[in-house]
Amino acid sequence: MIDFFNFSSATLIFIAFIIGICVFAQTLALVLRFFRHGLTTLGIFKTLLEFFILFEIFNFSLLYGQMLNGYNNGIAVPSGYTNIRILIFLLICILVLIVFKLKKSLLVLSVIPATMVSLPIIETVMGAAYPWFFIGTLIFFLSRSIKISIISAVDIRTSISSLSVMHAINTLPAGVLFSENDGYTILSNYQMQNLMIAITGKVFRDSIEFYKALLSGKYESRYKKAELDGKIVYLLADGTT
Amino acid sequence: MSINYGEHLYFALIYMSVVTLWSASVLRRSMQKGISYSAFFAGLILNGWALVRLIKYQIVVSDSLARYLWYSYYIFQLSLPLVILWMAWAVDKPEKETFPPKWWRTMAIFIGILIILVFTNDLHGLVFKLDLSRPDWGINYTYGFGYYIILFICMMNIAVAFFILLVKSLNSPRKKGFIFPLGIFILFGIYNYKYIMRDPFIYETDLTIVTGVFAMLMFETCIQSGLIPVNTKYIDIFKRSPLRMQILNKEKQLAIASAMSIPINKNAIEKVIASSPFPVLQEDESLLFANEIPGGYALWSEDVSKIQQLHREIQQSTERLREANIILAEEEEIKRTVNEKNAKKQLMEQLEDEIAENIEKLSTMIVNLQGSENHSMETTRIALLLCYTKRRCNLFFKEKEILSTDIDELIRYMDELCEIAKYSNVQIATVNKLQGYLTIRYATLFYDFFYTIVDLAIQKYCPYIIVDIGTEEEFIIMRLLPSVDIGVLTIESKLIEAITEAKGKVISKDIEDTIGISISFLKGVTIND
Repeated sequence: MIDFFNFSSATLIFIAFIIGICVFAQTLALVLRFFRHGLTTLGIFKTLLEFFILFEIFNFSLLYGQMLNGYNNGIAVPSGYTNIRILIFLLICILVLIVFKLKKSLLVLSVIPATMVSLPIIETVMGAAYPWFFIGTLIFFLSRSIKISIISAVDIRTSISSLSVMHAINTLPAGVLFSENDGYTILSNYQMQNLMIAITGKVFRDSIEFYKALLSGKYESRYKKAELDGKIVYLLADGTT
Repeated sequence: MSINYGEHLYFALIYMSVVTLWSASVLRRSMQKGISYSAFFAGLILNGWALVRLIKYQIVVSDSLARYLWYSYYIFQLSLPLVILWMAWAVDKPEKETFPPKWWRTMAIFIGILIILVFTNDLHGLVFKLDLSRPDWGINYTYGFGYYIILFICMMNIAVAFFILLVKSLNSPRKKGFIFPLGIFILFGIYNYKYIMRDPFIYETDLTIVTGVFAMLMFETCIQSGLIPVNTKYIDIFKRSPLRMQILNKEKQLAIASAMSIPINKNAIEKVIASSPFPVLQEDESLLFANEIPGGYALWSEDVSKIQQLHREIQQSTERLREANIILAEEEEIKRTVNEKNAKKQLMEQLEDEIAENIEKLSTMIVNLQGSENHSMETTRIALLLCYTKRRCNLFFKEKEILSTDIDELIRYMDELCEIAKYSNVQIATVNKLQGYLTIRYATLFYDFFYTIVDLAIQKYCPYIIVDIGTEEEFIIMRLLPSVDIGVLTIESKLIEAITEAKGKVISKDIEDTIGISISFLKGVTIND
């Protein structure tokens, strides 16, 4: 890491900026991957892999922070964090192999050489070229996380996920509302909100209050009440029920 | 508490990671676009702020770049409460109405002006009073009037957002939970006060990260306390719901199904997706709907068996009504035919009654014709009676159909009798002063009366008769003046009855050698003089 001392202050600031963006993008990739795959076997391992890759980026930031302290204080200090660097490398390797076995995709193996860069031995072997490998790895992780985020975001929008439930319920022409026993709304669709506005002029948070308002006839000027097969039917001004 | 360059980096990275996780979690939970947008922008602002802070702390020398990076904090510090305010306003608004209102846009312009004020601080020093000649200007500075305005605007926006949320949550069953975000808001106010007052402990903390943490805490406690509505546990709720619904993936395979959903065969799935948005009626009398959603299809069915049953009952009732209608129409036709026959029969009976005496009289006259002394006169009388009977029948039918008749027609009928009377040398001169229409009943009675007089005149060899038809005061009157005395006027009782019934009068007057006879009726409405 001492070879970073040859870099200008502006370059070092830029690298810090890259690390920041990298963390942001990797966290996003982690979340989106989790949203995309959920709690399936492959999903759990993929999410875990992304989680440890995030850790690996933090690992990189630890090395970089250590270097910055030395750079700003004018003292060359050892990178340190040897055990954690090796441990994270091993964990990532195991997860990569599991994901590879489950997914049968060679692309996932590309994470291993990138993760190797954080190993103390690689740092020693690379010597003066190490900062470039360091930066290259960051760019690799950044590109990878952006790619995963985009693919996951597109996939979430085009595959079944928990969001699909909301989309499905929102497609219903009927109003749907689920609430807890005290009336607190857990899930209500757009149609239910539109109906609340059409019938009472406002959206209710308390489903019991809404139900009471319907029975009280307080808003009777906005609808006509009828009975069909033992059920109360509200005929609205727009012709819907 | 002094931290080194590395620690500045670590804390910023951890903070950014937490902010991203939290924003994504809110985005996932939110069901309203306003909340989704504000969570997204809040995440973006907090991350952007942290990134600027990260760069700022990597700068060793307190130069202009470091100062302007510091100034740029206020872009985030001022816009974050604005986003929260927008979120508070957008909660419960319909999806299409989440565009910020005019007052919010005005506030955004004001915020923009405040940001410009901060960035131009080196020119006026209204926000920070800095002594740039000192190397520690970044620590030893005081606040100007502009700073307090910025702080007030920030706190005011957050307070207004809280107030809006509180008002909107008044009908929430968990409104008491408001105490938690309120507590955090008060703590945040205290923190800001202590920071400005240079409290040794507070001043050592990182304003950016602490403000971000407070913002997230306030947002999250608002969600947890029910001030900001979010949806959670969608799949679990869906699976246990009584909706008859299922979600298919793009390959049209079942992905999630609700508790009440029923298995749908592949053909039905293909059919309903092809016909979407129109439903398909299934064998079990349920309507199957399909809608495309991101990632697949939502299928749901609605039990319309009761509606179908109702529809069938209506159809059966309609059919029964149609059949009953046909029977009623046939019955009506039969009744109409019977009534027509009865009416004809009644009519013929009435006619027969009217002319029976004339027919009998005619038969007698024909029988007696051979032995009569004056063969010519009897022949004339027979002809006269035949003509009278014929026209009398006409008038009988007219009486059944119309209320009035043209006076000219009556005159024509009378002229016919006059022409026949000529064969027995009876000359009749008729003067008619009436025009227009006459009540049909009066016309009939005039005609009956005229025939009676003419027949009598033939029998009495009366050579001339003057007939005058006109009006006198409120009466329509027919005067007959025979040239000789035709003797005592003997009118059939039936005719007299009829005239009396019509409120008519028959008057005979002695005029030297003869008598004048008149028949009159009250003017009818149809008379047109």
